Amino acid sequence: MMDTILDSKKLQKISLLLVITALLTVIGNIIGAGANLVDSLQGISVIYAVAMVGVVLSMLPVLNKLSVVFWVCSFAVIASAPFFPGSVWISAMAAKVSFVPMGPPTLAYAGLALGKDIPMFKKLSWKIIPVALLVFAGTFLLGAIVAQFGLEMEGVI
Amino acid sequence: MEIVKNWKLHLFAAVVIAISELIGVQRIGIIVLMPILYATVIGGLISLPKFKLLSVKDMDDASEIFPIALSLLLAKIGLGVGPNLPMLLDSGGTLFLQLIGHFAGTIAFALPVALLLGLGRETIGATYSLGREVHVSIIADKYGLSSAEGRGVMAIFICGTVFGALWTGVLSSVVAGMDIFHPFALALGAGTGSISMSAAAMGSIMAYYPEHSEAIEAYAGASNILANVIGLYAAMFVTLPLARVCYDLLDKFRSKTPEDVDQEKPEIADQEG
Repeated sequence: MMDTILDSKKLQKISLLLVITALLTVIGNIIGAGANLVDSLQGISVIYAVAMVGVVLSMLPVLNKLSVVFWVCSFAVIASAPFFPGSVWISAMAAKVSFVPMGPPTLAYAGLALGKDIPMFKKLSWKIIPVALLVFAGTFLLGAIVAQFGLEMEGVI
Repeated sequence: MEIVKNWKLHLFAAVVIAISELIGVQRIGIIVLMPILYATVIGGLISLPKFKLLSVKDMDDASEIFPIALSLLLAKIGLGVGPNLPMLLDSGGTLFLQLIGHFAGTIAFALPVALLLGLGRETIGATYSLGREVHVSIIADKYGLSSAEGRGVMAIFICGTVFGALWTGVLSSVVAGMDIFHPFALALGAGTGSISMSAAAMGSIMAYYPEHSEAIEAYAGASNILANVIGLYAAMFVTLPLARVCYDLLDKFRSKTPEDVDQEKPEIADQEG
């Protein structure tokens, strides 16, 4: 019956892959941030739960018009916002996993997927490389410049 | 389900992560190197076809897992925003204004150089946006991927995948080290909408300003979310037309390549033929 509402096989796959990612993050949190196993597991479980709510939302009818990025982020923001019941506990738990160890698991898979893109990359004209560097630099720098100006005008900094 | 059971792949990922974290944060002068960067590089090295460690299927699996694994990082980013909503709403004006910087920044910095290097209509596809999946599909819809514009956006997409996070991480640590921007402005700048590039940048900035970690997470996270949500529409309705207009206006300054010269003088070629 649930299959009429969402794709349960896909949900199962995602939930298991996220468990693996969560465990990989715990490894990183222990080695990199020096946290202990219990704290890390508590923290990642809460982060996992928040992510799963977002994933489920993104798979429901009507709501699936918006991306999973939108739903996971939105629910995470709401769940940790001052007005949400239990948000203080959620934030405290999530804080047990530092930000820095959250990146490597995702990027590890991204790196491991690269091999098949290397042949295509080699075929690119060298000219696109400086352009790419400036594309990525440009969005960051102009964002920072405008932000600096804006925050000064608002008197925040 | 077999993707879940690809233990070889997950084991490699675990090894990559363990090594990355063991190396830890390293400073080379003004540059801060972090586990997230090592993870991409080590993962990439392992995946090189000549080492024959991973099959194409393994790499396809990794490709499929990446956006799913991202959800955990996204949740963490969102969780960093919620508690600071009052502070963020205070700067609501700047939060939205700096998005303009993000969206226009790619054109402002990259388009002139692309023209100087002699790139043709590829410039439009390459410089109108950050070149992530959503930007590729906009170009695919409008021009088709085999067009010049399509080649441009695909090239940037590939570059972003290969060295986007690495470059952003290194660049942001250099900029942070130069001490020209306030950490909050840097954090907003880091919220580009591409989560992997953003996470790398955030790590660098936090390494320089650990006392502001929470605010940095909040500002960068908020900017990321807004850039993601608004980004599709901004790209479709604002920056793509803008890139086209800029290209058409500035085309006369474009360095002409030998192919362009040939195309402009068809009579001579015909006579010789």
